[in-house]
Amino acid sequence: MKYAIVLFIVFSGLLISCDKTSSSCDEDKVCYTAKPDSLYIELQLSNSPSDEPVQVNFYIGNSDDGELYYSFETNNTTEYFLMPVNQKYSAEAVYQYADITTIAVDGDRLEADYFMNCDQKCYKWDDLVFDLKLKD
Amino acid sequence: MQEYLFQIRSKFIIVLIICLSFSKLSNAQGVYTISPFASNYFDPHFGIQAESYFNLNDFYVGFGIGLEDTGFDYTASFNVGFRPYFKKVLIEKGENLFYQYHEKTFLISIDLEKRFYFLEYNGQNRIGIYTGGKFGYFFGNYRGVSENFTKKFLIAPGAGLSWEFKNARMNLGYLLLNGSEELTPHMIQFKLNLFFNKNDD
Repeated sequence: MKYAIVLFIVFSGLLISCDKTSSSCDEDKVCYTAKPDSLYIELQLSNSPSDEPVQVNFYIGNSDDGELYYSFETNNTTEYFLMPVNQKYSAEAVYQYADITTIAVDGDRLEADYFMNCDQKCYKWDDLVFDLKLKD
Repeated sequence: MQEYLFQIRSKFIIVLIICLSFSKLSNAQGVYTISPFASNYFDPHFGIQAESYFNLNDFYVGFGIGLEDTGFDYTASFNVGFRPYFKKVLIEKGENLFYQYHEKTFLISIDLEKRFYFLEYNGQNRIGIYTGGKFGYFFGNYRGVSENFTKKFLIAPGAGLSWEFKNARMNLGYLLLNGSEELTPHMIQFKLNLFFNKNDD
């Protein structure tokens, strides 16, 4: 029984600490109350292992069954897309080295996340990052 | 010849010191040797467990509930384990064509474990070895694709040391988890079990 009580207290504490609506208040904290319609997606790329630029394919939805939105070649290690929120996106980076082709894939849902401060919804305007860098 | 005799004598002295130390410990702290095959009664309890299995390249956490029998010293439980982060993996999809994905994996399993205790102290605390396995379904989740490339039934055997207290047990040992093909299957397993309805007497 005493274990059950301890577990109950621990899990209750975890639940309370994870609650977005918990009413902490910091007047000095920057709070964007306007909900963003669009946010940036940052594509992080590796340097091309060959002289050829890296081909990037950007999709609305998943890369295997979504809609190809834009395809381009680049030598940059970061690229940005400003896209509407509440939608899933994905991207591929095609690296060529000798006869070997490696296609790095990443994707996620772009959402306007928020936290509560002084009983106000404060929206985060952070970029969504797709890590298309080759693993070491 | 003299060097050989010296080596033999050194090894004998080391073994003697270990035996004497163990004997001394047994007498001084109430540590007794027990037969690991003497358990012959049913003593069931409800139990929960938390565990981690890991190596230098991979890390899993898991939770389970099930039956703990501290009489025959076995456990049967339902467990869910998962890699709590996305890891980059390479999957070969053709000749000289590789895809790099961000992979999170899960293992839903029935775990069976049998323990053999050979030391006892303070009446209810025991030290021994365990052996057992996970029998379950292993599958993955990948960012940016709808397809699931890793899904299979597997058996993951394991063995190691077990240290049991009155209402808890710690296991530390080896687990062979043939999950992701790219990663090494040799893992260290650490498990903590709690039993809830064990009598105080």
